[in-house]
Amino acid sequence: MSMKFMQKARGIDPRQAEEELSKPVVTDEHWSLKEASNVPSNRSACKFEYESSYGSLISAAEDNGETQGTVEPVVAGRASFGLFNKELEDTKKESAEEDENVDEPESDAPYKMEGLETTERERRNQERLSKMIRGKANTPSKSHNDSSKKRKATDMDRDIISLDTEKNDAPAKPKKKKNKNKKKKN
Amino acid sequence: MSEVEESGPVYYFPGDNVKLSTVAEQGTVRLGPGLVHQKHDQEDEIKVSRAGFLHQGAKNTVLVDTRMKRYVPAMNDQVIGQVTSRFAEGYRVDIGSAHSAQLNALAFENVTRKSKPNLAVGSLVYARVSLADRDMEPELECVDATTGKAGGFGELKDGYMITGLSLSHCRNLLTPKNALLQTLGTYVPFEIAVGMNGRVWVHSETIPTTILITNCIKKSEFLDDDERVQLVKSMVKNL
Repeated sequence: MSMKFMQKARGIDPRQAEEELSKPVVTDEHWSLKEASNVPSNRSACKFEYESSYGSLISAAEDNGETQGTVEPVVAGRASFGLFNKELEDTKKESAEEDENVDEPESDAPYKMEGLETTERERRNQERLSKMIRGKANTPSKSHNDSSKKRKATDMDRDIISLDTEKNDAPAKPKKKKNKNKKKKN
Repeated sequence: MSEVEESGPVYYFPGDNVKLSTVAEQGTVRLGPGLVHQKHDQEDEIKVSRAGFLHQGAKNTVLVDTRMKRYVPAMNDQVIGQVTSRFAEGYRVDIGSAHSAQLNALAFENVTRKSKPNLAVGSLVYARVSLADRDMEPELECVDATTGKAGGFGELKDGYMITGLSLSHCRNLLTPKNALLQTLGTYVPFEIAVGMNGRVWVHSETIPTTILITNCIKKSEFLDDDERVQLVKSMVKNL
């Protein structure tokens, strides 16, 4: 009788018997390579991600030998030229100032149109104004020792300003009537 | 017979392989539209699925710039749409895709239930795609995702909308160093909104200048930067 419940009476443990039968089966079916270290792993060195949109991908290019073309950064699609939409240009200017922390040297231009598209007219106006300002700043000051020009005594007195000077011989300016009325009231 | 020397960018056809060593050896590689990753004999391969010029950007990004006119909505794309119908909660907007998009009435800056924008049927809107899935209708927003402000999004009043442009030409117009727009801006003051769905909105002082800008944009697709500058100068002279 080879029924399982009868094996205990014979002193045979059915579980141990099954394990002993299954051991050679597992070892025969188990495959193993002798040189396991030389087998290349199935994992790749790089991870790949897919992007469905062009907008998030286009960025500053890196020059490689086999790359084709350079890609420039994408900007918001709304733009204004020639001060057509001042609000839009102001908001763009503010965003550009927040992003950039650049210390630019001070220029002689009277107006600074940073980050704005200017028309030719505005550029010419800027140049004219800067030339006018430079012209006024570079005018030589009049010197008192210039003997070529003879100056009157009254002119000399007017130029000199000091607390110790005597009263001028020039006629005094007429006082305003309002002051006299106030004095009379007091 | 002399050998032909290859110069300039190379055009990739569907099925061509891109060498992974040229892109990156380690780290994450971001594949844009037109590229597919495959494994062949335990080696990684990048295959081209669309015809076009290969571009490589920062952070190991690779994409193929294909000249196509069919727009497929994608997340965070800036598009120009036209309102086709309106209902209680929002508007239905045509953005040139297979399905019309939905624009919620509250998806604007500083809007409450009592103060909603009043967009008429036929009006133009510059919006951002907030939801894009092939099984659902795309959704739009007129608010910048990072700042929460309009940032240029909203209704586009007056002006003229150019349609039928290729998507690659619109992407080229979006670059900040675009020679065409820079040159036009020195001669004519105008305002422009470029959508990634092949539509461009232009607004200027007079109708002739608007027509000038429109013609310049349409004719400049296959020109170099120098040729674009010459085109603008010749068009301005004729104006």
